[in-house]
Amino acid sequence: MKPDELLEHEDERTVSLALARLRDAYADEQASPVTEERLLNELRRAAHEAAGKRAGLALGARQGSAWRRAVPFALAALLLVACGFVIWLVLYSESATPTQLTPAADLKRVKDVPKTEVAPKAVANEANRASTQQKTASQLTTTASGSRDRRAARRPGTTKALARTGRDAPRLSAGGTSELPAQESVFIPTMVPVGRESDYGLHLVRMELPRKTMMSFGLPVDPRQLSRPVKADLIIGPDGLTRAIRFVAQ
Amino acid sequence: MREVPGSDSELLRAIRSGDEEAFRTIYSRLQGQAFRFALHMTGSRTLAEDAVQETFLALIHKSEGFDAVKGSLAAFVLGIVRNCVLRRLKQEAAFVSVAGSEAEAGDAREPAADSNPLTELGRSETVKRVRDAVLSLPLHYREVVVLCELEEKSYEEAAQSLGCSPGTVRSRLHRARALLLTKLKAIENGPEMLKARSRRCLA
Repeated sequence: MKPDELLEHEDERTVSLALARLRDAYADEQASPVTEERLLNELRRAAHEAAGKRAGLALGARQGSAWRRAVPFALAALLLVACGFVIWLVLYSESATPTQLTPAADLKRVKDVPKTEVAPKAVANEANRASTQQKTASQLTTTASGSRDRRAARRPGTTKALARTGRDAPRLSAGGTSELPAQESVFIPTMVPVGRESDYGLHLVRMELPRKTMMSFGLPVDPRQLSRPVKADLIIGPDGLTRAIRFVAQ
Repeated sequence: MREVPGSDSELLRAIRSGDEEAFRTIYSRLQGQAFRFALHMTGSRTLAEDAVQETFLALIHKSEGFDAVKGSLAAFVLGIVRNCVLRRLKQEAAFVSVAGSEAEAGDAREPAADSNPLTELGRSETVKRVRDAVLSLPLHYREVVVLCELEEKSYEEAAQSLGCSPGTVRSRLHRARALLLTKLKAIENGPEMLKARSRRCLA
């Protein structure tokens, strides 16, 4: 063997020997028992979780089968409701056909529209102001309905003639002369009633207003008579505010 | 008492279903080499413990990746340990080691009672030098030295753990031994020379 080869062989042997010593020194090295205990705990926890998951899956499967059983019943109920709705729709349309509104009824309905209208606030204020100014003059005071008639008749100092109201009641002018109007409008509310209001203390006051006031309530006005005032009946409440207005055209 | 199934695949299946006996069987068989591999690779007992724990946790939760056709369970476990160690070393590279912690790996060993104290001292000094030399090797050389020389694995088993061919393991081991010899000589001559040689090897 050559000296170089001998030296190389000896180096190899040195390395092997050194590694063998290191191997022997660490041959018994092991992980601590604490690590094993931790791992066992983790294994138990994982097994517990897996068991819970399996139980949850089984419960979910049972619930799923219950849902599957309920679906046909739900669909049948839905179908039944749909059929009932269609039948009701057909019957309703058949019963509604003969009573369809005629043009005359439509017209009547259109004519009724101003009854439900509420007077503009400015006009109501104007009427209130006028009624307040002329309240002292008190051209005519009477009640607005039959029941009010009875109350007014029972009230001391109220004459029977003054208590008569309505379409059949004669209109009295400021001078006390009877004057039958050529045309009357219906009473138009000028304010929205708040709550349930008592009829007691309502007064019917006739007064003259500018004719353009009629336009504010959507009533037709002859342009040629625009400069002339128009008579109107105002229902005045106990607070002095106008509840409703009716124009008396001559 | 229930019989523990024998093959590695069956044992792993039993572990997944929560069988503690199967786990103890696997653990007692593999934890030693896993711990020593991690200890030689990191030089730290704490990191080695962590690596072993992480490895067996992976075995509990995600052992579906094991294929008995590709290799043994020991090679599979050592592959997991290697990945854990490399990850931990990458994390630890950001920290500066405190003086004294480096020596924790080998100082736990006590001398045998019946041996000569001088002989034992010399032997422990030698072991320390060799351990320092192994720890100073580059990682891809260090792992083949640990597997083939210290754990006495065959080239095929080491290749299965490292995910490379047996030829690569052989050539790396040859270079690693040469490098180790150089380092051992350098340690004998002085630590300064060891640092210089190490720097050149890493370059």
